[in-house]
Amino acid sequence: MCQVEEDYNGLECKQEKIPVPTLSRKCMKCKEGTAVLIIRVSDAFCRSCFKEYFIHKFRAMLGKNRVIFPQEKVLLAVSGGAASCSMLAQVQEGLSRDAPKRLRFMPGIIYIDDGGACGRSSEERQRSVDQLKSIFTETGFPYFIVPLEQVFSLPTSVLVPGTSDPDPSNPSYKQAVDQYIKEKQNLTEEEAASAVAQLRIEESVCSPEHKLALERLFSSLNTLTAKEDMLHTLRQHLILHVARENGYSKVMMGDSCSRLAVKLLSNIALGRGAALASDTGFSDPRYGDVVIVRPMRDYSSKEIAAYSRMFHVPSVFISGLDTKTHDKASIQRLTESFVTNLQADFPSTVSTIYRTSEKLHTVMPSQGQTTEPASKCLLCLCALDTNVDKASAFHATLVSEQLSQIKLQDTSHDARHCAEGQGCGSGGCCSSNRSPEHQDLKTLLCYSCRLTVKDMGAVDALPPYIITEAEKRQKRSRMKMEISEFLLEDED
Amino acid sequence: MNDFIPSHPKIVVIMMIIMKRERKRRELASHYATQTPPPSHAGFIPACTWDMKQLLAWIRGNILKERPELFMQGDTVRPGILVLINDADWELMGELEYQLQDQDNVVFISTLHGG
Repeated sequence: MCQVEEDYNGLECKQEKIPVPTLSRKCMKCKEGTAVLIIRVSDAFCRSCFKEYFIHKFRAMLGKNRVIFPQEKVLLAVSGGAASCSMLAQVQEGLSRDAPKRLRFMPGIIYIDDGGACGRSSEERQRSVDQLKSIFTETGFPYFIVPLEQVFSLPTSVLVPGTSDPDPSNPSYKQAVDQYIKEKQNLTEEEAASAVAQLRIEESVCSPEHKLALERLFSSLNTLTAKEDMLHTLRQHLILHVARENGYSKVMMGDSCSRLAVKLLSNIALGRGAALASDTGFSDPRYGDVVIVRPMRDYSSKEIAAYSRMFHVPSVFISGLDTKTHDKASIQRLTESFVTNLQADFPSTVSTIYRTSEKLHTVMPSQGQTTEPASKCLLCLCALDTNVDKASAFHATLVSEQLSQIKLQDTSHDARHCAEGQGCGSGGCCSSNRSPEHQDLKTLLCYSCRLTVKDMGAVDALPPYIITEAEKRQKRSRMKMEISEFLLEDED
Repeated sequence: MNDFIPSHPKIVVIMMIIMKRERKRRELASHYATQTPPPSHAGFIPACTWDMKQLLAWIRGNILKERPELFMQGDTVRPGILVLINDADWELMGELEYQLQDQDNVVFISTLHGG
C-alpha cells in the first residue's frame, strides 16, 4: 500500500511540470483529448483537433470559392501581424503536402513598411524589416519589401482599373485543374528551383525627400480616422502596383472575421456603405486585373492568436497608427472596442455581423464592364456613389452644408458641377477659401474619400500620381462638357 | 520589486507577457534562483496560493507602467486579450478563479488591432 502511495506521489511530482487543467474538459470532436481552446460558446477543441480544424478551414475556404487557378501567381500581403503570418504559414503548409492535396498556385510575399506614416524611427523600421526578412527567406518564396514612401514614385496607371483578361476566366475551374495535372507530368523539379532563384529583395530605397513628403501628407490630415483611411488607400495602391508589375493576378489579405466585422461597421460609419460588398467580401474585383482575396475571413482573431502561439507561427509586432491610442481616437478604433466589448458578453456578435457581410451585394453595374476610369473613385477605385438623384440623403447633406457656409464664389462655377450631376457645390462654397484643386478633386471621389480629403489641410501634399491623374480626369470632363452639345446622347 | 521574493519558494510563475500595447513584446520570465539576484524586470510572485484575479491585480500594480486601461477592464483583462495558461484557454480553467500552480506559464496575447 505504502509503495503504491509513494508511486502516486512521485507521479504527481512529475505531473506538476505539465499541470493538468483544473476543470479538464474533453475535446468535442475526438472526445478523447483534453480541451485546450474554446472556439465557440460550447465548442472546446483539443490541440490536435484544433490544428486539423484550422488547416482544413483554410483549404476549404479556397476550395469552396474556386477563384485561384493552378499555376496562378498569388501575392500574399503580410503585415507581420498574427493573422497574415498564419496565412503565410497555411500557404506553406498547403504547398508542402503530397501531390493530390497540394495547393497549386505560386505564392510571393509583399510587406509594406508604413513606418514612415506611423512615426517610427528608421532603426525601429530596419529592425522589423530584418525580422520579417528572416521569416520570408525561410519560406523560400520570392518577396518584396516596399516602404510606403514609394507611393511618391507611383505611376498614374495605378488609379486606372485594369481590364480583366478574359482568358483565365474562360476555362472552367475544373478544366484548368485537369490541364494543370496533365502539364504537371512534364514538369520537373527545375521549375520549382527557378521559382526560388527568382527571389528578389526589393531594397528599401526611400529618398529623404519622399520621407519628408510622406510626413507632410500625414501631418496634413487632421484626424486619426482620416489618417487610417489614407494609409489604407495608399497601401492598397502600392500592393496593386507591385502585383501588376510582377504579374500577380491575385492578392491574398489576412483579414480575420473579427477584423472584417469591425471593418464592416466602421466603413458604414465612414460613409463607405456603397462599397461594403467589395471591402469585406471574399473576393474583391474592383481593380479588374488584380483580384483581392481574403482567405482568412472564416477565422476569429482568437483562433488565429491561439494557433500562432500554440504552433509557433513566427510573427513580428510592428506598431501602427492606432497603437497605444485610447478607445475614442478614431472611428475604426471606437468600432473595434465596441465590437470586442459586445463580443465578450454576447459571443455571437462577430459572427452575426460577419454573416451579414456575406449577404451583401452591390447593385452597381458589374465591375468588369465599366472600365471607364471617370466612373470610379480616384482613391479607392470603387464605383462612384455620388451620382445620385436630388432626393437623396447625400444631396440633403450637401444642401445643408452649402447653406451653412457663407457663399463667396460665383454661381457659374457651381452650375458647372451641378450639370455634371455629381456633388454640386461640394467644393463650390465650403472650400472656396482653399485651393481650387481641393474642390475639383472632390468631384472625382466617392462620398467617403471626400470626407477623408476634407480633413486634409493641403491637398497638394498628396502623392503626385494622384494629383496628375486628377488633373487628367478633370481636363477630360471639362472637354466633355465643352463638346457635349455636339455629342450624341447616350440612350437611357 | 525585491520585496516580492518569496521566502519559501513554492510558486514560481513563469509569466510571459506579450503586450503589444506596451510597444514592445515584453517577456517577463522569472526563473526562481536563490543564489542570483533577480533581474530587474522579472516578476516575482509572493509564495502563496494565488488565483488569476490576484495575479492580474499584481500585474496592474507592478508591471504596467502606463495606461493600465489598455490591458485591464475592471478586475479582469480587456476583451480582445486572449489569456492562455500553459497553452490552454483560460476559459477552460475557470478564468479569474484559477489557482496558480508552480511553473505555470501564463501568456497574454492581444488580438486587438494596432497592439
